[in-house]
Amino acid sequence: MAAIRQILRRRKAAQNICRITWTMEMISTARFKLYNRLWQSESDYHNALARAGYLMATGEAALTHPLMSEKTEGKWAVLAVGSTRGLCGSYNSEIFKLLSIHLKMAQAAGKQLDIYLPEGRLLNSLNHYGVTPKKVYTELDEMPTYLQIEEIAADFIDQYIKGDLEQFSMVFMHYHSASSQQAQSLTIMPLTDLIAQLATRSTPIWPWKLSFEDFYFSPPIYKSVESLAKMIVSAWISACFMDAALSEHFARMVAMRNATENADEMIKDLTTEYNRARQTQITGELLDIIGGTGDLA
Amino acid sequence: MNKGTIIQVIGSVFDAKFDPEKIPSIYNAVQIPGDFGKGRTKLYGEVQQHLGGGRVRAISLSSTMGLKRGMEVIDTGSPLMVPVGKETLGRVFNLLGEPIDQLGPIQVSMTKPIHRDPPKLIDLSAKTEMFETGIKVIDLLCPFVRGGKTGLFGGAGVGKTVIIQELIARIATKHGGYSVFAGVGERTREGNDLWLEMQRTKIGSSEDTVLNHTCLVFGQMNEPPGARLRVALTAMTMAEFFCESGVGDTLLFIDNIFRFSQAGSEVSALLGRIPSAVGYQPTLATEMGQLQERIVSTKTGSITSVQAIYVPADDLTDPAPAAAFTHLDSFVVLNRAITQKGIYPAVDPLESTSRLLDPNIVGKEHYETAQMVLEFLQRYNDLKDIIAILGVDELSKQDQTIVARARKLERFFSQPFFVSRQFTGLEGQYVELASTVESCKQICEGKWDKLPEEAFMYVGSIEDAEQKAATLTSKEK
Repeated sequence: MAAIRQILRRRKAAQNICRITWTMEMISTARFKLYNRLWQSESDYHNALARAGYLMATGEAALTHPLMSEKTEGKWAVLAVGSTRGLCGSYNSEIFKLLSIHLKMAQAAGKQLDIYLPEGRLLNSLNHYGVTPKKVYTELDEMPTYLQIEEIAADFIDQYIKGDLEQFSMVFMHYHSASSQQAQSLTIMPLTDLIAQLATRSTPIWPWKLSFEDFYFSPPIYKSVESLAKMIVSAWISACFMDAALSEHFARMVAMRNATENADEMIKDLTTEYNRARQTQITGELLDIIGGTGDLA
Repeated sequence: MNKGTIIQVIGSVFDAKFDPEKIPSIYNAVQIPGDFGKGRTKLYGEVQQHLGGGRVRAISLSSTMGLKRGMEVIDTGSPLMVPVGKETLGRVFNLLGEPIDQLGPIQVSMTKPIHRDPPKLIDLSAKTEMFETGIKVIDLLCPFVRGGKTGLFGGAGVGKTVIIQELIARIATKHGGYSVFAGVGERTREGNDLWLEMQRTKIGSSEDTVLNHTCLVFGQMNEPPGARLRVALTAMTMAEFFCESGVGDTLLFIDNIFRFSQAGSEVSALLGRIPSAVGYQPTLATEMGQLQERIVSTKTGSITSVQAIYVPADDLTDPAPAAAFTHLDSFVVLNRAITQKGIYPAVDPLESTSRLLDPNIVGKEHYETAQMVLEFLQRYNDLKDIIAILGVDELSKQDQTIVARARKLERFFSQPFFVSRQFTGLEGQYVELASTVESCKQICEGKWDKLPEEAFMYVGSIEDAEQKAATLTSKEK
């Protein structure tokens, strides 16, 4: 009897979990579709900016700007994007793994590493290992607004120009395609590093045949370089957040689909087990009764 | 001589008519001379019921093939008498006390009845001392009691017999006293294997074989229910004699006590008793009690017994294993889910327990380590469903650590056996209790978090695990 009740209780728990995971799968699928559309339309813009940056950096009379100059002193800063909620498989642990590589590298180089991150699961991992982040953004949604991004970018640009930072990178889940996402770190500042890294990406976004001198700028480029550089920084911060949100929902979609399948299987097994236990009990009782009456007759 | 006649034969039960003034007493053995094939000239029975009018109902203690109505039945005037004493060592008997090892008849100075009352309450000894087996999981979580009773519970094919044979190899080879092995309703082949193994194995470093200090009694599954019902008593009687003659600690191994209950149930149906729950005999608890109460330690000597108990359909609440449960000091429960993970011995750490697991007896460190291990394993068990559905990544970091350590503990409880060397290719490992306690404590505290799980499979001490981890990583490279 006790065993039967226990089976029923476990089945009920599995059913409840199944309902939750199924709903979450649905939500994530919808969100993923939405972000996927956004990502596709925005990637053109990001790539165009990257192209402009590349031309700037490779021009014969190279432009100089404090954001493009490499430094040898200052702290390192990392903005790590984890998920706000759980239930997305190994998403957060992969980000954390990459982040801990950064920590180790900084330690080896004898640099101070400032960690910035939005509130969420990643913070729990950091707390568990006793790492204190420099700043936790409490108000960010999974896809921050344009103004929020501007604010974040301005903060880092400020620090960089002042000379507090030697480099600034993002750690996030890069979305290549539906079949491949990977935790990646992208150096945003100095900009030259960003452009060098983007140049090695597989997507051919580079205007090989063009050179800086082919363009005519109005107003003259030395006047717009400042705003262009800042634009590239905030655009790529935003791109990283976009990648992260897209990957997160994809990861959650897959994780929840698996979870639902696992739960379904468990419910099926438990139902079989329950039916068998119930039938055994009935058979036992019947045998007792039949045996008893048979002997008494 | 008190003689009667067979008037009815039903399977392995027969009725006989005696002079109403001189009917044989309950449990008296009766002898039927005649030709029963294969050179058997006598058949023994045991009186179970008086039916009135001089009629008695008896169970046959061997096959009733060749039994006929009208045959002559002789009352032997006493319960079945079996040979006891040092002469029985090194020999193999059936339940009648006849040697079956083809080494000729046995000359003994004494025989004893298989039925007798258990020792009196005041004669019992109340010593509590641990019996080290060198098997990690047993020593840590369900330590054996010297002079106590241990039950090995398990469904079909989870390794009860292997553990019993391993215990014989571990204990009997180091043991000073005598051992008695009772094969009750199990495979005949296993009895043969055991006999051959015992001839080969030497005690300690001496030239004396284990067999010379052991007597074996077999009533295996080929025998009729009457034989399987009484063979445990025959072995018991032999063990009792060693215990009473004060030759030290006597070991009694019984494989399998469930067959005793099962035989009882078969006999009960033939005797016409109304079956009780799940079809067992209504006298299940009484029969078990009569047997178990005789396996005790007295002031003159102690009997340490290890009994394998088959659990039908893996259900521990089945009346037969449940009846045995109450008599034991230490329960070793084997679990099918653990054998499916390839972990042997498949001792279920959460179900197994021992009366001895008390800080006043095993010591504070052992007790606390055992409790800590159980806490880890219990938490892992609670989380299993969640892991099965959502995966290990969704657990909190603390829970992930607990799960990782619990899985290591679970694997660390596997151990290579001496008797299974030809199957595993691994040398048997004897692990001292102190080392077991220390290792488990260190695993719980996280000292060995770095080692991979496979390193804990089939090793002895934790140092072996460390070594195995090193060879594993070097292989990968």
